[in-house]
Amino acid sequence: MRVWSLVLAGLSALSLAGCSISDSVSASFDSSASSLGSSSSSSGSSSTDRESYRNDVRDYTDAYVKSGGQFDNFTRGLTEIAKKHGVSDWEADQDTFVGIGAGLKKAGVTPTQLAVWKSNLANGDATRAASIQKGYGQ
Amino acid sequence: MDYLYVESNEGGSSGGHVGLAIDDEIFHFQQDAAGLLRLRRDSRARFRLRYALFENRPVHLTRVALGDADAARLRDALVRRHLREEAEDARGVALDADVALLEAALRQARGGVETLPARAAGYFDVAAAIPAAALADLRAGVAARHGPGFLAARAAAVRAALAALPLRATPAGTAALGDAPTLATRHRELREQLAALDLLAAAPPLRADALVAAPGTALTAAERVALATHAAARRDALAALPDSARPDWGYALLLGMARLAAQQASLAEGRLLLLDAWPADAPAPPLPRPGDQAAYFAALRGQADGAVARRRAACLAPPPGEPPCDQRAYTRLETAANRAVDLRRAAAAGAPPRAAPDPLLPERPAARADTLAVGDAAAAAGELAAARAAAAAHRAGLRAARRYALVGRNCVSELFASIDAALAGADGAVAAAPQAALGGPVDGELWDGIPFVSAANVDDTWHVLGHQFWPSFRQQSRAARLARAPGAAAWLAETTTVGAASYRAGADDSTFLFFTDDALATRPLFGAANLVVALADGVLGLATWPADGGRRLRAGARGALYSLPELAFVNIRKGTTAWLRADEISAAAWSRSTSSAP
Repeated sequence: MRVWSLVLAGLSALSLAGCSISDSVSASFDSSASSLGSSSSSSGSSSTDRESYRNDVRDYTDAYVKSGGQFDNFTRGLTEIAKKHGVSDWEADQDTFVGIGAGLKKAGVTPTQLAVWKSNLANGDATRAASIQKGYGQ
Repeated sequence: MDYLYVESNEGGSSGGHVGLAIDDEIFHFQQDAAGLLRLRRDSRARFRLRYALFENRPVHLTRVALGDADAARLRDALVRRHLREEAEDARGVALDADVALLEAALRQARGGVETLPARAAGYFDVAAAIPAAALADLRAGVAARHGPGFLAARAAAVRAALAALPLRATPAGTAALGDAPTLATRHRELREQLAALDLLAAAPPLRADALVAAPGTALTAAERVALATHAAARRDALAALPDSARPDWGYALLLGMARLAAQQASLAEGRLLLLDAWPADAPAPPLPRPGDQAAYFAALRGQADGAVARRRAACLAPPPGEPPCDQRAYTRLETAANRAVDLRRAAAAGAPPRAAPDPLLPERPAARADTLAVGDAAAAAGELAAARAAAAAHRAGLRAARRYALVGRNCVSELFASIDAALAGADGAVAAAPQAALGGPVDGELWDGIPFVSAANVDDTWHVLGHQFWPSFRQQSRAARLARAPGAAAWLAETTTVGAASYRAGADDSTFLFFTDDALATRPLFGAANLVVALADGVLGLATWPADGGRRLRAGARGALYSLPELAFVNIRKGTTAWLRADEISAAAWSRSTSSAP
């Protein structure tokens, strides 16, 4: 085993590279990956797409709270998460707030701290506050 | 949890690759163009499509027993690392933008006139005299919601904030998730707010080249209703944005306004018109070989047209009970239409289509000359030096923390280091045996960092529940052909690059004749033939250099290099798949995988 390992290590060193991928099929891959996604989504905003978005927002919120980041900068990272899902106006999507609530719960935020987050993020909008609470309670 | 070992191929993957699958997500470290290791997070379907089908590399999965709590802890740690790396990379881009901004400030201080971009403002024809009805309606909605003088007052406030923004370089910082914005980030946010407010006040129409027409039939009456409903909902939501607490609402409003105008144009013309979403710098990877290009374009067009039809139905004709079209669905439709239109353009021109991952969020920028204050040249020079130092310090920090090394810090070692860190405990202290939950440590010797050695170690050491195998696209196609028409002729044909029905050579594939991944006994013989063919092709490449820019010579040289291991019974090269048809993606991706007990 060790002899073969060393042989392969030497051959790997020949290329002076590893763990990377070929770019020559990128156009085909991007187009095909797009088709792959569409085959799993049959509706305008399938439950899979929505759940994926909520989960990403949840994970980001959890990681952000645990990192000790200040609230002021929270939304900039949220914009980047939403962008990956094709959402630019994330305040208009209630799944954003459900995901935030779930992330706050995962991060172990207390009900008192939750109230502060709700106040800051909902900005007086009762629907958003309810969505955060919904995510927190799930 | 599954441990994945991906067999080698030529190029940057000669040693193989590894990953860790937890539920549907696969975490794996990839080396990027800058030589940094980057943790990737892909779905199983996407990973398999990339590696097993396009890269033609068989994937071996080892199912490992791990308690739910430990698996969740490991996943959370990998997700946090992924997010932290994204924040680090974004910080690097933002610090480089600081440098560019302060360079512009210095040039302006020395008498130049500098323009700075605002994303999505480039779709509007600001010189047109006739306002766009969709934007005029939105403007009226903003006035109704916030008061008649709101827009002007808001624009004045943003203008004042922009003028008051000190042009000071941002320190490198910690690159943590909650880092304060850089100077360039804050400047961009403010100038995009200002651009959005100014454009909303003027309500100009779209430029003539702002839109692409989705392939397909005219809008039906039901589709028109669905599109009008979506546009009305978006108009109401956009009216709230100028008063948003989020600091980056400017781009969201600009994009929303451009899309509203596109939707209005669609309804007026009765056909589906969408914003041209391609970034100006989208790469266009090389086409496959000339003889393959007709099939290549036909396959991609089939996929793209199918995606447009599905996305159009999902957005504009959702099944009963499904929610109406939202931003996600509209973006997917917009992306699919842009890909389909670009493919038609590329096929007509015989040029390569552009490549960019989903989704394509439209960002066409417009430059403004009135957003950068004229300052003192000496002060700007000092801040520029500080910004350059901060960007350089950040790059150095990234290199120190994430630089790829063939030995010592590669996709294997980094994955096991992550597992150790995650399972060692919440306090980060290294426990005596952090991989004990999995069965024991599998890394320790130098060669344990080789992908296939690590897979063997996992098999020997961890609590293995079973195995699964994802064959490469060529292996699947070869097996299917031999099942349909068994015999020596078919076997021999499938062994060569000229006879294999499924081999669609990627543009960067080296020159070779025989596949040797499934031919252990004859590998040295085939390798010798491959060496001769590659050398001959390389010599021919000397003659064709003026015409092909050295492409054939390079392919021949690489072909000779990757033939050498075959002489010693070692296979690295497997060829890549330049394209797949839509039916092959849906059928081949999930068929023929095999499972077995340990």
